[in-house]
Amino acid sequence: MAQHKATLERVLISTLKHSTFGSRVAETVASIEAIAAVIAADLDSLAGIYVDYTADSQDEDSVRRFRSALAHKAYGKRVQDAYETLAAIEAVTVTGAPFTAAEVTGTGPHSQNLEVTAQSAMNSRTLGTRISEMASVQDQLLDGLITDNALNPLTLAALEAIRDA
Amino acid sequence: MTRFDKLEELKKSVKSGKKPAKKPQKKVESKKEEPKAAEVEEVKAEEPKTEETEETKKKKKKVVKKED
Repeated sequence: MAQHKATLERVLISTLKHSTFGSRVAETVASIEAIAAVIAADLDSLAGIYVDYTADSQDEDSVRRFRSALAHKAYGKRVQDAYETLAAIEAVTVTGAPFTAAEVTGTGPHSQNLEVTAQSAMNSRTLGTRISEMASVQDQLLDGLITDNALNPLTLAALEAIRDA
Repeated sequence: MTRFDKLEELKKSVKSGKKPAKKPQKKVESKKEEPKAAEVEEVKAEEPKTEETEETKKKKKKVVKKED
């Protein structure tokens, strides 16, 4: 039955009962994973640190909450892993410190809408805020990395492909 | 293919160290060569002739009886 396994996007759309938001979250998670893969594949130009930042979350409380909200064991963990992966990349590459909710709030015209939608769809203020943070920061991180002059052409091309996908 | 699918594909290709797959190009159908006239004649000659067996003859007779 493996060939019929529902994708993260389908599960999120179904569980959150929101097509646009479900796709947005799934794209954010996939994008974070792709960025981590690109950095792990070629980090020579990023301060010489050759590390796979893909997280394996040990935050059982958060994992349990995502699993409950999404009603899916594997994808609940995957979303929390993506959140921690993003925090790890962000800490090293752009700001030098993990992002916080205060940094993200009001970063764009749609950020407030996204946060409200996320809180409503997730039935949780904490998880909704976390998801909207993740989506906004991921966009910023990708733009920040692409405009970074230190990147070599291969890494830059891969990141641009993620942005333009 | 949604953006999510594209990102998944991209991630897999980066992890496996391959370049992202290009869009499949349309195949140009090559014209089939028509068989030569001599070859066609040979094929016709090789076709076995259907011989009427005793069974088929009996069946024909039965059909005729029914019509009567």
